[in-house]
Amino acid sequence: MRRSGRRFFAEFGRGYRSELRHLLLRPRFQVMLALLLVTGFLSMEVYHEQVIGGLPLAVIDLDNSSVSRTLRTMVDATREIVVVDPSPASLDEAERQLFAGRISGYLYIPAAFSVELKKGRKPSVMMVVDMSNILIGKNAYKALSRTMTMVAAGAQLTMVRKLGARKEQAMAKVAPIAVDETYNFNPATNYAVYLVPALLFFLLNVYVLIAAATWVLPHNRPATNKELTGGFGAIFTLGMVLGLVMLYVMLPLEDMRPQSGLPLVLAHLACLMLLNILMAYNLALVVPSPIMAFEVTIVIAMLSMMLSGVTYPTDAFPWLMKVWAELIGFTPFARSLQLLLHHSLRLNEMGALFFHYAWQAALYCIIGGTGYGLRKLIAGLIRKSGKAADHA
Amino acid sequence: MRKAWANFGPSLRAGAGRLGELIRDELRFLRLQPLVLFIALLLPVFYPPVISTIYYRDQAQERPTLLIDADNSELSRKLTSMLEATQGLQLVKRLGSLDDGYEAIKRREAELLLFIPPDFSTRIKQGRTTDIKMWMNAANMYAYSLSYPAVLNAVTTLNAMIGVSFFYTQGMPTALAKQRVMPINQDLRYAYHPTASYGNFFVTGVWVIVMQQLMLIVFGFSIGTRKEVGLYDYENERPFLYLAGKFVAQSVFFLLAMVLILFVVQPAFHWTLRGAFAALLLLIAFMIAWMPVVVVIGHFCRDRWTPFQVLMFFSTPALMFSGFAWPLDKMPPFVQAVAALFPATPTLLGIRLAQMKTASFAPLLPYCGWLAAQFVVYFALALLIVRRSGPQPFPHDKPTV
Repeated sequence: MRRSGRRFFAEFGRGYRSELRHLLLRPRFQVMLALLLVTGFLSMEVYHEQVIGGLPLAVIDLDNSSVSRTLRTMVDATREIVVVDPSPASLDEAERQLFAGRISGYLYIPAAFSVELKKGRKPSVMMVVDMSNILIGKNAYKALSRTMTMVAAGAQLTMVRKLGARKEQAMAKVAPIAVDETYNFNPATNYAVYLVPALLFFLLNVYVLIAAATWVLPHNRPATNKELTGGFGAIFTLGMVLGLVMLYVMLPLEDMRPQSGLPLVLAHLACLMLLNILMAYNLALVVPSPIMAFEVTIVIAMLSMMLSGVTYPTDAFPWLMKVWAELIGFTPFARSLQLLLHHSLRLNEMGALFFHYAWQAALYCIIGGTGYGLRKLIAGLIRKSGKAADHA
Repeated sequence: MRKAWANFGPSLRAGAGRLGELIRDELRFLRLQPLVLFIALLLPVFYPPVISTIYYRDQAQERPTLLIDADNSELSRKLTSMLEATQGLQLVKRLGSLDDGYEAIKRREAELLLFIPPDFSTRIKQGRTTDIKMWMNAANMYAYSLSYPAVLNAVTTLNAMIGVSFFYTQGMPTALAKQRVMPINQDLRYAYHPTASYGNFFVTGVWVIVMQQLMLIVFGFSIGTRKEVGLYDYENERPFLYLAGKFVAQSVFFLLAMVLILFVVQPAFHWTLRGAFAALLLLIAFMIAWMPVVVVIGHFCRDRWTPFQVLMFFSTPALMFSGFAWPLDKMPPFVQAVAALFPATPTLLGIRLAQMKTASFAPLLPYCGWLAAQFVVYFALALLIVRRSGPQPFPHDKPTV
């Protein structure tokens, strides 16, 4: 018993060392590792400003009254917008600048704006935003709309006061209901929190899947299953180390770090690594051609970010894509990442996510086992029919 | 000088003949190696429809919302029905306590929790302001951008209704009272993309990345396979031309992929594309600018596995730092500099014009100029690199990857 255990560890260790050497010393794996870290860092730096600010916007003020100038000043004071100076001389000029991308939108205040406002005729202002980039368009719209609502509320407040309402009561006549907002998971509603953690771990996910799929290629695969497991152990270890580097070295550069404790972080990382290894191994069992198995693994890896629901919610997917998303290990991990980074949680609070990992792992094993069995069966039948034909 | 000019014609003809020979050789190779052909056809046939299907609904709607109505008055029920009527929200559950709601948000059972306080209608009737509390999962900024305005719009509308009733009690006719509430009309226009939908915005950009990866992988895979099966001409006197000829032969598949994406997938899934031909020309310019880079990478591919292992890390980051979504001028200068080196950057910026703004090719010319500059620099560098460094042979004695 002890001897067989010692033999297991000896072979496991051989596989472990061999794969670790591959991962750290072979030039192509060094390139992969370098690309993982460099592209991860660059992608992280893209969102260094965290929020969209200073979008150029033109104000075409044909009224030039005190109210319209207030409007312009208030628009300029928002974080999202910078009013360009000089303003376009006409609507045509503004349209040209919008087309060329020199401005993100424009606000058109008609000539009789303040007069109509004073007469109580509800004047219109035209707000045009460049929605060809929804990120720019929605931010510009948000800032413009907020400012317009404030100015309109101010005008209404003046009217209410004129009707005899006291100062402390007037606001309750204009906007009696206010919304008190609290943001979970992304308190400052910034884009770095939204995208950077998922992006880094997506790259790690791709790396681990490729490494695992490479290790099971026929010309790479070691002679015994114990050595194979040892190789997976090396991939697991490196994946864990890289995951910890991302969480505790790279993300803090953007002021993000896990709020949950290290054991929980380790548990989730371990689940992701194990699921990736299981997926690569079982796909190699199911798909008859090694190159096809390798490609299928990579195709799944590449779609995992889109399917995880990080950028676009999974409930908006068609049902088939929804099912696919739930089958990928990266999906529950991306969900857990948002919790780990923003809440101090205990293990039992994440039961649903661990259950998700568990059924995924079971499913991978069932698919792998069934596929392998079927392949053996078909191969046996073909061999038998071949022998029968030879005999005949 | 005259003699040199006299030789120019024949040498050009000889060069073209040699290139033609290389193209024929590559096409023969592709016929004999169905796996390379399979990959060249599989990637454009698989990825665009799958990605289009993911975003088929174009816009996420009805974000799951939890409600705690501690007031349960006529006014709070009116607010609830207004919230339910919005496209951005769907009330999935009514809860009894804040703790339950907060836990449910953490468990991701809903994205939004709304709490209407017990004195909601009483305060309004007493002429005082009141707050409704909102807890929101802002981890997905896109979902947040849908549900947050929905709540604000419902609240603004109810505020306006209360405002109208105040003016009415002051003796104003209803029509006039409505004019006095929120007295500035916001005439909002979404230029170029009126639905502001996510799928339509995002998917066309992904095509550029699909094309980028297709060229890298198919070329690398083909060169790697050649080296593995011993059909790579290591002794070729013009190694760059040898590789470029193969790229030109494979361009047929790349062009087919572009046509499939722009003229079949794009209309089939109703993705907006104003200038399909302008987009096609831009993608061809992209292919030309990308060619020297692909050739150099292919030159270093020792086997067919290398492109899959190494080149996958280019795809998503190339989209991220191209300025397609996050504006280029909002990135740190060194990221802008790196982004400027990628041919995907001008292509993505240009293709958005063709997608949303214009059917004409003329506005895309500056981006073609950018690509042309990249081509010149990369061509010179590629020529130098391929000439200076010998091709990496497949290690037949020890074929581990």
